[in-house]
Amino acid sequence: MSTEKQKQWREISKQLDQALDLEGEAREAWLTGLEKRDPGLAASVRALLAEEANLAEFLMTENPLLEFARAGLTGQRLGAYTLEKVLGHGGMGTVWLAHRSDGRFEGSAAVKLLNAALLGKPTEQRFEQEGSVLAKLRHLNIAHLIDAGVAPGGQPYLVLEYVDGERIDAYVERHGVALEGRIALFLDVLAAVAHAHSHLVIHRDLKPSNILVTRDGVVKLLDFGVAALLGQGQSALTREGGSALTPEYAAPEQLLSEPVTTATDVYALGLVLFVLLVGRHPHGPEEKSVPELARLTLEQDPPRPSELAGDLGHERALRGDLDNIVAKALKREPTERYGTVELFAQDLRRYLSHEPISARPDTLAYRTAKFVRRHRGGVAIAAITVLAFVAAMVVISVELFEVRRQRDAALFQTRRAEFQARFAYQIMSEIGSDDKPITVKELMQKGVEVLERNYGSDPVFEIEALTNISGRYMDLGETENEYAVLLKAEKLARALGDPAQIASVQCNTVETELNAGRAQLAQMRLRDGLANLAKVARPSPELQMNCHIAQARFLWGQGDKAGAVEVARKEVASIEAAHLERNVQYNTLLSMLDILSGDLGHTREALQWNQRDFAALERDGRGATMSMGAVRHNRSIDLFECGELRKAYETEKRVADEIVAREGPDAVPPPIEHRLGYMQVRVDESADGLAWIERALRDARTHKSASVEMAALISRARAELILGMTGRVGADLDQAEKLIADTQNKDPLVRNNIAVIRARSLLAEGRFAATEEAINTLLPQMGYPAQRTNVRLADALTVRSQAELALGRNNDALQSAREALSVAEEHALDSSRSADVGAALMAVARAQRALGDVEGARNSARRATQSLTVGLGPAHSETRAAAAFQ
Amino acid sequence: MSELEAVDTHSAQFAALYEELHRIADRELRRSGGMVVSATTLLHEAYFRVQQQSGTAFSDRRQFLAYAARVMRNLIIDFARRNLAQKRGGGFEITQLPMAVSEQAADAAELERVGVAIDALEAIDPELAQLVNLRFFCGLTFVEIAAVRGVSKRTVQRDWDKARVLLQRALQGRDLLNP
Repeated sequence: MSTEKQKQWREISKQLDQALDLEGEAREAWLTGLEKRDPGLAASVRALLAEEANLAEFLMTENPLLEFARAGLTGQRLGAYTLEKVLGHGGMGTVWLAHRSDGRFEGSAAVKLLNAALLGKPTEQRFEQEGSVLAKLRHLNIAHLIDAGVAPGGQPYLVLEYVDGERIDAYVERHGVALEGRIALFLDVLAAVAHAHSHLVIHRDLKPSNILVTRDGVVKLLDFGVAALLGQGQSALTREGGSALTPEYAAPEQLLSEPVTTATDVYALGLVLFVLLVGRHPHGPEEKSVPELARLTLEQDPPRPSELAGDLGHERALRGDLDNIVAKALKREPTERYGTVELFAQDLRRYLSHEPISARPDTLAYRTAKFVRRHRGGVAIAAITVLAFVAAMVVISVELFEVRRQRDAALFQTRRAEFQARFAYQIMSEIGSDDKPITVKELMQKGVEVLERNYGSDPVFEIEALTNISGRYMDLGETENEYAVLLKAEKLARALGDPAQIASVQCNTVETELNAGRAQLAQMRLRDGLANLAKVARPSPELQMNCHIAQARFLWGQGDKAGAVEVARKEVASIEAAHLERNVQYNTLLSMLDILSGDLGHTREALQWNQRDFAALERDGRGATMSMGAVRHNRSIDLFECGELRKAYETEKRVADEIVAREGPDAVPPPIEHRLGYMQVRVDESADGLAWIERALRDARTHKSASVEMAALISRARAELILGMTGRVGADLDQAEKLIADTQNKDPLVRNNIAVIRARSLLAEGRFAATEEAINTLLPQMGYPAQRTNVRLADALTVRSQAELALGRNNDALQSAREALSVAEEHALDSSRSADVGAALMAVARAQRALGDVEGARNSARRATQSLTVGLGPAHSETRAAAAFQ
Repeated sequence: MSELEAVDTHSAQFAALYEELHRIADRELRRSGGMVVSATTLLHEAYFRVQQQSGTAFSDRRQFLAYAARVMRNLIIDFARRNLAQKRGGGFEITQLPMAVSEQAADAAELERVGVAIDALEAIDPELAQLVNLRFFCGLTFVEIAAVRGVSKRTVQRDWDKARVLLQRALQGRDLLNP
């Protein structure tokens, strides 16, 4: 089965074997002989021999695979640089020494080739954006970014200042640097990190091997920002991987996959200082396994530097202030460490000038109590998320920036970019001035203050920044602040008299008004927004999207879901035509279509929109963001409406778990809390779910969100019904109905929902005639029998069947149950997985048995068991009842 | 054509061995906290386990290694891909052979380039490709390879020289036979 080529090679190979065993003149003579017999073959052999002679040590090293893997890049040109040799490798990729090849300048650089496997297309774009952030880092002690780009093969790369130096720990040992000298060098490290922090860049991987000292004694931080370079995506990857970057220098929060902040860098810096002072790692020098390191980091306070001192003099020098400074930097609780790198530096400077320092020893009991408290309740979450928030805001600004590129002049754009950087810097510098933890709220207030004080001359920027901030308030459920900020923006827009700005603010405020239950004001703002939009000659796609989304939201709020779907569909089509799918609003529209289709009873269509939404987010590399959490939440709802309750519950649980892991238990949004709670009661039959619902109610009330409170009350009523707490159901539903009236909620589905729960409650109380009457009143409101799409219809018919059976009207009961079954099947993705189908089948089975059809009843129950096993789980009481029924 | 030429990557033997190595590697990685796995452990354990399974037994150690070379290559590239997609800096190392993936190591894209070059070599000389796999991915020395193949060390060295020339041509994007 040999190919032509194989045959050809076999012939060459045979000759080559002979030639390789000969040397010098003997080989030459042999080759001459071959030439006479077969000149072509001889030429091939000669060429191979010549190349073989030039191979030298190629692939003769200890690790030929690595050598071979990299050999392909030597000599490759990237921009103005030619790759020379590999300097080192990291998980992110490979660092090469390169020299300028355009002849205009002399000089070497380090080229960092990012791992192509790690980077999808969207990541590359983010990489470019982040590159511009990095470019702002100009500091003597930071190896600066020279250039960034994408290699022809699609591999992104960074060109960095090449530092010819020695690791800081090796440097101080080899030069026998005295204690003060070591601290002075370390202060330069702190200055570099402080510079980066002020530019909202967190290093996240500080360790001695990333800190070099040049021959002139200048500290240079390497790898700076490469950790932050991949920004959100990278942190998500790290979280999923569940392990820290460099275990020896990882902070507890990194090991716990909690949010990373500037305090994470402080911790790593504390370890670097430890190594510089003592000459070894607190958990060294012997190598430790990763689980062992993690245990030590999480469960024990590190030893004090003086405990590991080499001799008495050394010990005396370290004991006291230096011990306390290191201990403060190495607190397991991030908020107890130095609030900023500058405070860390201040203490060291005070030490050098023999002034009292701020770090004080504390007792073990105190430390332990603090740590335990945090991990039990997640008290300090707000402070930790502060920096994540600032970073997120910058990213949002960059996104905005991105959209506007097409219409704004380059000069204007540059000015804007400078403003944004300065704005972020000002907020940072003002909150970084003392070491108290800052709440997100304080941070945003500071943002508004800074805006007013410094950007009065640029109302357009101020309007946009205020709109951004209002969006963050909305995310946090801070309805009143959200509104106040928008009113401020509106005032500015009106003063400016720019229709585009007015339209933008008005359309953005529609949802705020709706959420606050002010439908009339929402309508006014929408009209005004759309009228102003019409005045803009060439409105930006962003503005159009905002206004059309507001329009769809309004129609939805008015109960006109079909109308909302139409507006949203049209906008999705025009976004796709303009290739603007990367805009976040695209996902908003897809989510809206997902939810609305579900509400309209088009459950399968809803899941399709959900899948498109999911795919769009993944394509953009936002697979691990809050948006993705929202998409999964929506999927959970879709699955629930398709009858796949267990899967819906598990999906929602995963969303909540991820949020808790990332931001703590207080960050779970109330709509997720009450649904999760209800589903826990429904699927796991556990009263524990009530706690989630209570949290949702409390949160909704705190944030004055009437619509969420109403939904949570309905969830509680449903849960109470299942748990047999029938006495409380009525009161919860009354309260929900009051909120519906207060907020002028016109959504018929909510009323249908409440009606079914009331009917079920009557059934549970044994009031069968009243149950039947309630359902018979409800069915025409659902459009039945003409329409069969209402997602509560199957439930309602099942309830009626049960009531009829109890009243002894077995034939009617069977008919209702069959009808329920057929509706449930229409909504199911797969009847054998739907709990709704299962419940209807059980109603059928009971009616059949009452009518004496034992065989039919058994068959129905068998099918019900199958559907319930998947839909609710094998251990669920309904599943077991169905199995027992057979 | 010798048995070494024909490693059918779709065969049950291949699949069983791949699965076995994968399972052992996963377990070792978990046991060590995700960092280190020994190639020797991998190969030895896999050999004994696969031998115990009827139907997938190899006639001898030599035939086993023919498969192992190929399997290890797929395994290492798959692990690198999976690992790098999961996290940065973590990763694992295969020790006791001059091959380490991740932290000190080649990234998946580089490894895939290697795969392409070896495939080109395999198209004209499966035995040389196998030699490269044993050397690259199993970390076997010339002496060990000679013992397994039942040839002299000199023969292995000569084959290695030939493979080097052809690999360099592949690396430079040249045709292996008509450069």
